Amino acid sequence: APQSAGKTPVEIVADSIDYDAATGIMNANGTVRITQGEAVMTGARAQYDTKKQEGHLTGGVNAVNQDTTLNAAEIQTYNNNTHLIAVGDAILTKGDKRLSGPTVEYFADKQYALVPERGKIEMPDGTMTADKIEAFIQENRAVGTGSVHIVSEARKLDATSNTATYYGEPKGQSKVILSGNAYAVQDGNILTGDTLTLRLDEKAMDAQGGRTRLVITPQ
Amino acid sequence: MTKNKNIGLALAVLIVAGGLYYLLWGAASRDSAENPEAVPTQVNTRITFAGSSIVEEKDGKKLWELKADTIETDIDGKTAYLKNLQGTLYQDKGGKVDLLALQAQVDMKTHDITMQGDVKATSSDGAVFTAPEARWEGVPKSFSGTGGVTLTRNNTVITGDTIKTDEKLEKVRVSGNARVITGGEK
Repeated sequence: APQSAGKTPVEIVADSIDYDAATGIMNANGTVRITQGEAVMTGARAQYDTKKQEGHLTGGVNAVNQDTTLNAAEIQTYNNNTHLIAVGDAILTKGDKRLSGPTVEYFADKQYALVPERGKIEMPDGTMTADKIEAFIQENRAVGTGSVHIVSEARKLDATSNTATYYGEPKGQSKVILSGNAYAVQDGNILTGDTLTLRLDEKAMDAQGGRTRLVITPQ
Repeated sequence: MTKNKNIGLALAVLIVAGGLYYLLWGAASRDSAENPEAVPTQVNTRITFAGSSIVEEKDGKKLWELKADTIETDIDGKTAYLKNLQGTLYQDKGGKVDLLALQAQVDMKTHDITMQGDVKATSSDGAVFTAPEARWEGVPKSFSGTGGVTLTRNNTVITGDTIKTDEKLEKVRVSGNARVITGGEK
């Protein structure tokens, strides 16, 4: 069974490394690469605390762990490098999904990512932007909060709401639930209401609660 | 105090050097006087002490002690050459570093020590430094190693082309192919 993260040694490679055994702090400069198990982080510079097992990489940072990649201007790691905060044009890519924002916080253990402001998530089904986006990666689910805007070229869909939850599972039955001032346009038909459910694969919409209004545009 | 100490050290070396110089040189010149055909042999410009040690003290406190199978010095006593060095560097707060090297040279003026051949320094708190070549400098107290160096401390292993560290092998700078492995099981 793979070594638990706590016991997995960390390798740091660089042009030069300063290390203070008393404080446990390491400063690496030049083509820095930090490897722990299958996770690899690269950057121009890094400071690593060997006692807390926390690192701070700067200078075009790239962190890869299996099929998840995190890019940013700088990345700070916590909790034995299982909790990463990427700052500065941060982009988290996992399979066919891409989550981005000024800051992306990623919890590898929980497979959870948070974009606290100006978030954007791009998926084959479409793109969602919102003030805040949370991605529950294992469940293939994403939640947008505040000024949600969803655009799907593939489904000729454009929708807005206060909050939205995207469900990518089960396969072939992906859907989005819009809540609060929900507004959706698909193939020219407009549906507004308090809560709208957009069934993406079936190209169907239904509304729940509050006043609903449907405007159908003859094709 | 330091000046007296240095003078004391130098004097000790000179007296011994002078005595042996007379012995060696005297023998060589008497041969050629009594035996004109004797080809003047190349005078050994070094004096050899078998099974000795060199100690540096300051204010009565030992700074370092170097033992070796053989210690040679130039006639002018500027450099001491040691074979199979076993040394100890004493730190201010009681710790120490044990030294091993196939050979070493001591600059009798600066008291810097250069070492070659399986150099190994082990600090009393368990850090181990190995290098093909290394140098100990007294001011500021520091170690440097070249030629592919390794420093191990607890579960941290540092390797690189060159390394510079303080006297306690605690603060380290490694340059060139710097690599550290840390964490994991001890």
